[in-house]
Amino acid sequence: MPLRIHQIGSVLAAGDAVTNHIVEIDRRLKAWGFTSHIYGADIAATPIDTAQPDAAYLPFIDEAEDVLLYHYSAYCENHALFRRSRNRKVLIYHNITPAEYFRPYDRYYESLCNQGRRLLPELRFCDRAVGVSEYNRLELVQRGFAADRTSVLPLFLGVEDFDLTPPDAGLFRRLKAGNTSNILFVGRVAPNKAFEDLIKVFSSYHRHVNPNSRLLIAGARFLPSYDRALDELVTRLALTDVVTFTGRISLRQLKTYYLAADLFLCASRHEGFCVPLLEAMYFGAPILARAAAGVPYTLGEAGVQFHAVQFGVLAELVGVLVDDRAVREQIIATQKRRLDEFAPARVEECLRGVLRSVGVDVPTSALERREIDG
Amino acid sequence: MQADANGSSNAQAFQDPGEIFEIRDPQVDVEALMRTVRENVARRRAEGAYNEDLDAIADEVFKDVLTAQPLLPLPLGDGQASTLIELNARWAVREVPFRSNAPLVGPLIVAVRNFWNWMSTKWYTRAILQQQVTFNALVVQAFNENADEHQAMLEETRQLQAICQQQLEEIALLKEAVQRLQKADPSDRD
Repeated sequence: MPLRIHQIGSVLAAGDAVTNHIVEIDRRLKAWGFTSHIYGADIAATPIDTAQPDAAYLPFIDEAEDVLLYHYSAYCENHALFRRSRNRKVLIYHNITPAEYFRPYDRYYESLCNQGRRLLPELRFCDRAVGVSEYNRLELVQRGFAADRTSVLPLFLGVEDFDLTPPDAGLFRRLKAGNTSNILFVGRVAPNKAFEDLIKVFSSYHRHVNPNSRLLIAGARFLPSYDRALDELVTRLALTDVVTFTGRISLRQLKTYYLAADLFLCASRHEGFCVPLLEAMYFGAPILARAAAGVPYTLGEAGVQFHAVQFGVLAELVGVLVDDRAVREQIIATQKRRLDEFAPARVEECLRGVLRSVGVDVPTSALERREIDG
Repeated sequence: MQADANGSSNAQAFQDPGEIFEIRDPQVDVEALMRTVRENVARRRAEGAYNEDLDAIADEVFKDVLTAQPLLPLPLGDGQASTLIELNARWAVREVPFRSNAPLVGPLIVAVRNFWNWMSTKWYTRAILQQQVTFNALVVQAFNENADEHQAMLEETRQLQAICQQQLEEIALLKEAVQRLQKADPSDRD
């Protein structure tokens, strides 16, 4: 009987970084011969056929041999399953946005983030705690987790889906028409990502350096008051024709935006990992990002990072990164090397390490897998 | 607002690019890039660029938008509501009757144990228990009143917001009417 490994998440949804990670782990676990189950509190929008409601995990909760990987990215009632479980337990911490970012806009999200962050120390009674970045791992240690039982398991970048998806040729033509420079950011429109700074920097660049440019913001909108403030700012700065909020988009459109991007500009003040940075590396868009929270850990030596928002300096820097071919090529080359450090084989090795740390023997070859299958 | 070396008004004091951004890539000629940025900023500043106070504009916009629509208080979430239901169900502390599953002698054990409890602790603990029950009842009552008040205030806030919205729309219509009147040819007036 193959060993059972369970993964529990909160909301499983298509296009969500945590859900993608769960799916990628599931693929590896199955390939290594384990029986892998996925559960979520909300599976209405999940792309995973085999995902089950989290209550379906209950029959396994007392199985001491089983392994439970609990993905913690938001407060969710199913933390009770993790805490009650007698499996070998691994917490995978994706980070939770500090509540203060939501305070001016939405009490519900503020409360949810507060609850999520308050609960974190209560989850420390586990066999292993894993951050998806070194930034997240350090936060676990700060919140009372034993350092020697923590490690890093970076997110899997699911590029296969990108590779299999053709770009939208019509959209690409429109984006590249007239030699317009496309500045791109990808991420849901949340206040921790400081979209107001993104718009202000772009405004400086557009007004003073390159009027033939546009800002593309690809990500779902969900906070009406924040959305209204950003829309009003765009109007006040007379940028309505050149700033586009795409809302939720398909993988095909996302790929097209990346391919058309001349620069990936990220002003986020808080990111646990920031998958779009890796995606920008993959598609060869040079990155200019605020050196905040998990971003420096994800970028390493790659890209360009800013520590303060000085509009003139950043606008001119955007100009250089968009127009100076030599600088662009060098930065893109280093980003590609950095991306190699997140190659699936390396992340798989980290996953093996995590499983070994809770006493699971992971086969390294097909032969060993057959032996495990018996 | 601060004045730069040329005496013109600037939104932000100039900081050297080296303090603003960082390139860790050893292959990039960072000095040359910094020089280019520095020179471009200086040239465009001399031409009058980068004078707008973007931070002030954004602050004003955000303040206006957020003032126009104050945050709604949180309705009782599922978690709070279920806690309240549980509190209402469990505030009264009840004595648990002693039971025994022992065959034959079970009833005797229960009788002896009940007698001993009556003798040793009943008159002492019952008074304490009553104090606890009274306290629990008061706490639950206070929570219930707060929850009712919270819901009522939430409803009132919603109604006030609807009235505000309606009045804002009326003001906008009136403004339009005033503008039309101001633009109209005076000779058309009676």
